[in-house]
Amino acid sequence: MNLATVIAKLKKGNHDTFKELVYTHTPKLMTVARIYTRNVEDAKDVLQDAFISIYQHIDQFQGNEEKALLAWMKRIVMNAGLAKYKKMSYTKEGYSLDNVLEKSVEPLALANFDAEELMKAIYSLPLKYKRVIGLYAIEGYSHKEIANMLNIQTSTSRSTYSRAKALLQKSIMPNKMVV
Amino acid sequence: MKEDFKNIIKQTADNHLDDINPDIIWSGIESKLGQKKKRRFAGYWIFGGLSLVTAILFYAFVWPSEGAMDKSNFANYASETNLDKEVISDKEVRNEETVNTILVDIESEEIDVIKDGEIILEKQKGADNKVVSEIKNQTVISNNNATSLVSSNLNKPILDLGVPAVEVRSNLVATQAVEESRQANIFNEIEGRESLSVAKAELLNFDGLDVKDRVIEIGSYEEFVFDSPNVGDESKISFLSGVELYSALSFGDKSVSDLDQTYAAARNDSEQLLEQWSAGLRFDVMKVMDFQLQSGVRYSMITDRMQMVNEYKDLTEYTYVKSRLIGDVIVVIDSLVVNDSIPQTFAYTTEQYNSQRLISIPLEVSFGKSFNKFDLGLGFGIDVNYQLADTHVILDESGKASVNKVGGKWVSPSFSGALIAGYHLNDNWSITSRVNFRGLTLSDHESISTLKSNYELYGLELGLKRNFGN
Repeated sequence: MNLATVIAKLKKGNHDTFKELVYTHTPKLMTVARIYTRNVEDAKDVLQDAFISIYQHIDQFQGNEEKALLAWMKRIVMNAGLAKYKKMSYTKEGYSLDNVLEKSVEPLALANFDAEELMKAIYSLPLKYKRVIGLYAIEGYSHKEIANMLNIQTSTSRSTYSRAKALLQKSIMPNKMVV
Repeated sequence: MKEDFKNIIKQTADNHLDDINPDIIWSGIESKLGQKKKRRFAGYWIFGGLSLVTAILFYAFVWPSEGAMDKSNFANYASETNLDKEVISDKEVRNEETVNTILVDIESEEIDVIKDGEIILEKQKGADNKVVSEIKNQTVISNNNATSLVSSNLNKPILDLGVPAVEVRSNLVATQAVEESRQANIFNEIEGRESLSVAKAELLNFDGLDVKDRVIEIGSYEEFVFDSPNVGDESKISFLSGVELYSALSFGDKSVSDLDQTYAAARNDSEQLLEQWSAGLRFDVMKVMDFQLQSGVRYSMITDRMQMVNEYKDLTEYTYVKSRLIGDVIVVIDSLVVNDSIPQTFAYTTEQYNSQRLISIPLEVSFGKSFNKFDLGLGFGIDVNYQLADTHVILDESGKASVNKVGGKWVSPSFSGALIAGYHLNDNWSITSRVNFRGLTLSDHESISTLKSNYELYGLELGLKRNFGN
């Protein structure tokens, strides 16, 4: 079934096609959801809500390539995650900032790690850091854009990213952390 | 170096497939979709039900009966009366029965007395087209060239003495004889004018009633009001009979609903509706008897506050700021820099203010009665709403505010109910007031969001109204 047929069926509210879409893209989109949420349970909720939004707003999708559809869905998942915590910024989440130095991370050290372990390390970062990693490193937004999206200062976005890198290194190379 | 880090992270994330079981996600989606469908379904039923009730009430009590408004119709009915027709439809029979139920034998002494030409009107305004009778006599009669008909179950029949039409508010209508050679006609308005059962006086008898005498007795009534020949029946409906300028202040409650119920519950704990202010212009689109259909335009602003608690560890300095959002302006009420030499862990509460600006087009139906200079009534309505702006102002710990402003879209309609009171200063001006309830649901400005804010607003509205005509 080509993409045009899939989209046409989704627009008509075809339940089976929607289910197939969910099963096909869940592993990929769950990765996105976990970067923009605090834990697995929140990620599941966000992904479910995002899929419902995708289903309800499929008529707004203009592309005709699989790649474009995936990018569009990723963006919806990301927005759903950001919206959740933007509205929920009262949530208690404490971070210990001591001992986190703005120290450059050695790229080779990251490269030496297994992808699965690196993703686990990203997932385990506090939300404040991993979403800046997601927006800046993965999605390619500028710090100014991130500042607008998260309602923070540009300098805060920059320093958060820097600290996120340090935390990531601390997480995957705990013994090499220099204080 | 930086690019290498970014590339590694990006490639790893882009290529990564989470090991989540899609069954879990799908089952959650199915249950959430089910909930959503159910809620919408219920909403449609409520909306449909209210619309149906409105339509029925409007049709039953407000919609004017065309024939009653047109004197020429009565003349036509009179002239078209076919006394010799042999075929009588079921509807006609029903009409006869209906007519029979309210007519009583006129061959009584009482009638004979009144036939001599006495109609007693204790109170008459005459020239201004309205006459109010306070006669307690239970008989309405006619002299030689005028027939008066009033049904038994009326308290405000309308009687037209000088034209060939008489409307009775209980749905019975009669034409009166314009000259001695023509007779009174009686028909049931509610059964439909196209197939009226017309009783021509000189030939038809209903259970002993000799309509030829053009005298009909009614069971009981307390008073009747009738229009003069100059106004006739046409004065019963009026358009654009008033315009009102008003303002209102409301308080109430805001709650949040979302597919994520845990989140909605947490949000509800932090929400506080501050107030709603509104102002508008209201027109009496149509007025029929005691019912009014009104519309207009209203501007309203709703402000609410959300508290956000952030926990921090090992900080030595923080700023305490107390502020208030007034319109789009943040007013700092108090601020204090706290500096501690000992690092401490604490929770800091910041605030987010949300301000909604709406333009609404209300459609309201009201029912009311007048007592001397006072009006009392009930009304309810549906508003079509356009969201001009949805402004979020977030105050951070240092007192800095970041503003996010969206808007410019149609949002869900809202429903309202009101207790209405008014006082007539003179014939043209009156003061109006309403104690009203308004239910409003606004969706989040993020188009993909499933978050909805529900407002329950209780308010007091005051206005000044200019009345035109009656």
